[in-house]
Amino acid sequence: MTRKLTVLFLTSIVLLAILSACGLQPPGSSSTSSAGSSSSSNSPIVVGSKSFTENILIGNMMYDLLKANLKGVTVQNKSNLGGTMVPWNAIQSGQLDMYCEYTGTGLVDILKQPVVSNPDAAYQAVKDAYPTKFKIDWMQPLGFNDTYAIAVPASVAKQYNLKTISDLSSVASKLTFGAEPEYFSRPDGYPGLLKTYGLKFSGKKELNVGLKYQAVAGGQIQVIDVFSTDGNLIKYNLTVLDDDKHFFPPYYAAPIVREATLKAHPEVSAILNKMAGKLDNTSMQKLNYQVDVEHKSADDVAKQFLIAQGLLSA
Amino acid sequence: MNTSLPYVSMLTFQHLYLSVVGTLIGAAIGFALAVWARRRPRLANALIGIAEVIQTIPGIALLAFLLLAFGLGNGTLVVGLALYAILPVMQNTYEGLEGVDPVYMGIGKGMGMTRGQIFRQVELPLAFPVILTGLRVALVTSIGVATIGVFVGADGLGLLIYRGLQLIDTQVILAGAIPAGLLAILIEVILTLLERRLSRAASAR
Repeated sequence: MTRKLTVLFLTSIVLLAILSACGLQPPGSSSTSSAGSSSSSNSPIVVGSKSFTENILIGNMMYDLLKANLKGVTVQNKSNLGGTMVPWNAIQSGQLDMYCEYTGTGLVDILKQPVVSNPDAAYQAVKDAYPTKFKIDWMQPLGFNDTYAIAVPASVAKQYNLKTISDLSSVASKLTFGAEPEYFSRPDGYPGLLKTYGLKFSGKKELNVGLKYQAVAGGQIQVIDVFSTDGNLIKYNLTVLDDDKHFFPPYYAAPIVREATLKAHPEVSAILNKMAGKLDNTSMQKLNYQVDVEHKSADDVAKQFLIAQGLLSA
Repeated sequence: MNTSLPYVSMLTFQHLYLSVVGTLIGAAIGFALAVWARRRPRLANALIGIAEVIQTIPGIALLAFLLLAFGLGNGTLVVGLALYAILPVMQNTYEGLEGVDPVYMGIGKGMGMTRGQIFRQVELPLAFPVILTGLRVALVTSIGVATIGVFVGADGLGLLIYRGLQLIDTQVILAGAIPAGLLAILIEVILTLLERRLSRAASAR
């Protein structure tokens, strides 16, 4: 009896190991479409997204549109990957074919060029540089400008009469600053902010996006960076301070795609550009709100938006 | 994030699948290494030493290293799970085989069995319960480590846990954490019962 079990045991190890070597695709994996196995002749197109709601939503939309309009190609959605560097490294190594990037991030964080305030000039700068430097193309912008901004609770703004970021310089020593880890290592982030505005905070805390808002509501930190289209801005009573020294570049969102992918599938460009100009700041913020505050599923919200825009059939 | 039953079930199945595949690959390697190191105590010590070092590396650190080498995806997670599965299976296989009373081997020799036959028909069955214990430990550990797989772009329940933490959404966090915990407990219980059954059967021979 035990001998049989032994043989069975060894055989199943060998079999499963061979099976798994044929492509690790657990049945019903959410990241593949229903069109066949991933180890077929057509290599899949992989959409990625950063680890915050807005980028996940856009990634979902890109995925939905490609899945619906690309024939005979498997599309995968690797959402919620991490900070900018994770999808950025992945797209350069070919593990991702595309994700949604922001012009300011491309300009200052990736190309390490100085801030350009004019939105069109900023877009043109990245559109020109990326193909030659990285063999990656920028699609048309989606419409909204999701810029970094600095915010404080309304009560704190009232207490110290804060309207602009410059107003912070006299009271910063009494306040703690909080932001997600990525913010502290970017030139358009914390270091640049301190330098441009001559600020010195009493302390700083690294917190993930969700915790950031809770910490400011709980009074543990007083100043945070926010994204201008954050859904949570509506919910928490925060005052966004005016960037009077124009420190932040424009951050217009657009998909970036590997040129190799566009060469193999030229239709991708037209499909993704269906979203061009379809999302302004208010509508993007509303979608973010549905996920972050109303806790709706990001898959559903993205799909519903595309259907409402007539870009996807119900 | 979707917390419907079909979606959570699918993630649970993915989680189990990846854990099992990773464990079995590591187990096969561990088993093979242990058999190779039989009656070579210095080699055995060296191999077990290396495996222990791998074991000590915290899960997320090991996965981070593997991410740099292999990039994102389920494959990276499986490599990590396999590495963690090597030690328990290798060590238990080695000790299980060493622990077989030489009397039995002598009996087999006396019956005219070849070395191979003795190994397959005498030593392995007797050592099996101990080996199975190693496999159990490896699998339960894998289920735990697989929750971190989300950071290397792998599937599984980690997706829900991580997303829930980002949104501070209790429902989403629990939808990921509870099945993961239950899965580990279930595997532990099932395999422990199987072990007991087999050791009773072995001693009854």
